[in-house]
Amino acid sequence: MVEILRVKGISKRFGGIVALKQVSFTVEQGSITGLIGPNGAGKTTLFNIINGYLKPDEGKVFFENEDITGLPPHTICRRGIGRTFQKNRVFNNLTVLDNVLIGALLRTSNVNEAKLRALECLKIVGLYNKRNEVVKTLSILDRKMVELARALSTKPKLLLLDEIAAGLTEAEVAWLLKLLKKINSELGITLFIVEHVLKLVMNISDKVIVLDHGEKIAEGTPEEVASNKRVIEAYIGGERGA
Amino acid sequence: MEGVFLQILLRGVLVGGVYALLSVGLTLIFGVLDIPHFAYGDIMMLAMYTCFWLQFFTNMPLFPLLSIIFPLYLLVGFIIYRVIVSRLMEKPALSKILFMVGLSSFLQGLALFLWSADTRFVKSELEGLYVTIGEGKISLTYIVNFIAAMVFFLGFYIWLQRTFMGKAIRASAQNRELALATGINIQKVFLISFGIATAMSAVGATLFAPTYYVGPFVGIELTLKSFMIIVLGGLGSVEGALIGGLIIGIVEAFSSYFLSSEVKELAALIIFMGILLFRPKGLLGKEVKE
Amino acid sequence: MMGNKLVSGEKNYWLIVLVVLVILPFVAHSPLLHHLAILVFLHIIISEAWNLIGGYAGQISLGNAVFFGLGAYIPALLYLKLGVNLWIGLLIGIAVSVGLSVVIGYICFRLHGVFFAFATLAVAEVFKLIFIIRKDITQGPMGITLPYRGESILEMSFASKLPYYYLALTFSILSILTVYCVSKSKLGYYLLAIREDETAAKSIGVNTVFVKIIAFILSAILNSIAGFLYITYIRYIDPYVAFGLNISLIQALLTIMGGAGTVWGPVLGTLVLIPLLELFRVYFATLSGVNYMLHGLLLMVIILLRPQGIISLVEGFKRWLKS
Repeated sequence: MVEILRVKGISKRFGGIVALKQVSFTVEQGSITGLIGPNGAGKTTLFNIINGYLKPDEGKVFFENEDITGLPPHTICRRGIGRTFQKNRVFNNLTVLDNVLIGALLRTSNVNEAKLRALECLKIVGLYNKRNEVVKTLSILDRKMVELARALSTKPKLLLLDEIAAGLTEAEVAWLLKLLKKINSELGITLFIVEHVLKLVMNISDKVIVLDHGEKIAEGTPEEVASNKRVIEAYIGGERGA
Repeated sequence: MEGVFLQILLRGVLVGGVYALLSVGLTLIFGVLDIPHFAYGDIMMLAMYTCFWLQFFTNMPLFPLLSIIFPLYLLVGFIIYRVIVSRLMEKPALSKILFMVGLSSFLQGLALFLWSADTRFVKSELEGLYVTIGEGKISLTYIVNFIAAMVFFLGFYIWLQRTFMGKAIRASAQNRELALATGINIQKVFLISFGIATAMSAVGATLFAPTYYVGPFVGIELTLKSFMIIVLGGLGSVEGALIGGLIIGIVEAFSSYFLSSEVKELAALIIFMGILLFRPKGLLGKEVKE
Repeated sequence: MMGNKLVSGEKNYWLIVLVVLVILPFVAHSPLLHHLAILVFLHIIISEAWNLIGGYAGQISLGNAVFFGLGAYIPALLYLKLGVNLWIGLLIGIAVSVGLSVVIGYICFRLHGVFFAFATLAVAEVFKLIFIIRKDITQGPMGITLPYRGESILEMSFASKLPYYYLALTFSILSILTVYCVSKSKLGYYLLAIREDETAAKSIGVNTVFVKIIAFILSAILNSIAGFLYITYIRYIDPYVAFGLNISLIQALLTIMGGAGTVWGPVLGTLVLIPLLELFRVYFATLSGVNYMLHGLLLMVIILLRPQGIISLVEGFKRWLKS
């Protein structure tokens, strides 16, 4: 399989705290790869480094075999990496359509073209009917879908999803699962997912990477990882609630 | 020549100590309430006018004045918090800034309206008394006011470290969610913080007044200066306010000796810009607020 | 996005307003009215300028006076000292402002919120002090005066107010058009994204520093033009007015009152407030400070009660009419 993302020897310290220590792994193109680990394992920090919001102290990030380490977030997005945030960063006072339109404007300067693309993305996530609603009035799931649609509108090759299933009901998670599978298989977008909702991750991933206290402790299929002793210990030992 | 150098340095330190007291309130407000208190200096301006008028009508010397100013402005701080600032807490950052800018304008206009643009002067009873240091003389006012400022500053510091409310305040500044989780009455913390900060700044302004002048537009200058000091020392750091105050005091003393007063302001502003750009964390600060 | 429509039907509306404004000086001869109108036009220019950076991009600049002051001083000084034609001087002034806005923007846009506000404030103060200190170049705190050298559009000196009226009107229309065009463009959307959530904007490919600087450049150009019109009309300026907090603050106040981040908000705010303030100034000139109090009070009230500005009231009224 062709690798689309390679993370090599990434280390990051904040003051005295080691957030990441020599983390290395690859993500295969077209796959759905999961990133799990107990709270504080460094998952979001890793995303922030891949995405360009943070610079690693050591190590490199390669996207499509090009070194993107230290590039600013907007450049990395242009290269083809999209992202959703743990905190759900949508443009609250704008409409659903405007949110996604702004994303589409990355690939075209024509507002009308961007609008068309945005509408396509909204159809994919099922928000077409709510396109003129102001985002802050929507439910959690809808707001997450706005963020997802917006990321999709930038025509990403790789999507980083940071705890997208957090706070959703079981039914919503099941629905999300189907949507993500569709985005992966029909649009060919590689998904790299950070999740606490293990049911989602283990169900959907081709490969799972496990972090604990900033170090990679396992990498393999969901079955391999689930039966890995170190992984089990890490969760039972350090789990503060998934 | 050495004597002059030491004299200037001493003068800078003495003024710097008062600056520290002036600005420590702002660092508290930023750290605990996360409010961009643009009107901070304007309230200090009101305190200076209060001194002036109290002196005008009662001829009170400076130190008894402090015993009125402190509780008065503690109350003023409480009222301002309750009536105005508390409504602001949940608003977006943009709104907070603009509101405070509005408050600042309003207070300036109020002072201008009530007392006109004439500059007034607060007198220290130690006027005309000098202490000879080496080859020069330093006004006793500077020395005594410095000591008073340090006493208040130290008292404040100890209060923050030792008392329950002080600890609650420090906890809230560090991590508001955590503090809430431990059952701290956050509204009370905000109220007390704002009140104490206002009172401290009022005392600082009173001690500063005899070496400066009183006018409606002093507020903006003092806000800028306080902001400079706490950015320099590190937002949220009480010790930083002391260090920042001393540094600014010393820089001003040297610039005003060698250069004109406008150039002195220019020098301070350029240092300020430098700090904002290269070390927004300040010397002792924690993280930078985005 | 509210207040942005120039729909076909409404276009006729604006045409009528335009015609009215054009023939107004010939119908109403009161010089006070002309003066008021000129002030309104000037304030529309600077408030639309602030609107771009403060309203759309959400960056509270308190230092726009820098560009206003340079737009006034540079043409005037070049004219007085070197005999350079005022209009050429304006172009030079704009060029300098643009260059400076890139530098200042690049430096200050790393900061956010209060830090940014204070930084821009400090920059304006720096310029004010420089212009006071360098008396040799700028005449210092006493300011500069443009003499009346006979009727001439090249010299921008006129006995009557009318030419100033039309010039100010033209540029104010230009400034509204500028903001309108921006609001419909990729730039406009990107500015809104930055205002709403800068971190998220970066993640969807917005080069936030670059975009902010573009808005800042436009803001600077408009402010400089206003400064130029100011000095050619009033014939006098000093560093305190040119670079003062007043100019920086009023831009913000008018925009916020009217509706920040909308095309017509600043116009509305100006139309409501400027006549009021002038009236106050004329009749209560002895009561100094009332202007400041009014500014401050209005700002506070608007923020607490109706942060979206007057325009939201207008929109609400329009919706009520439709129902």
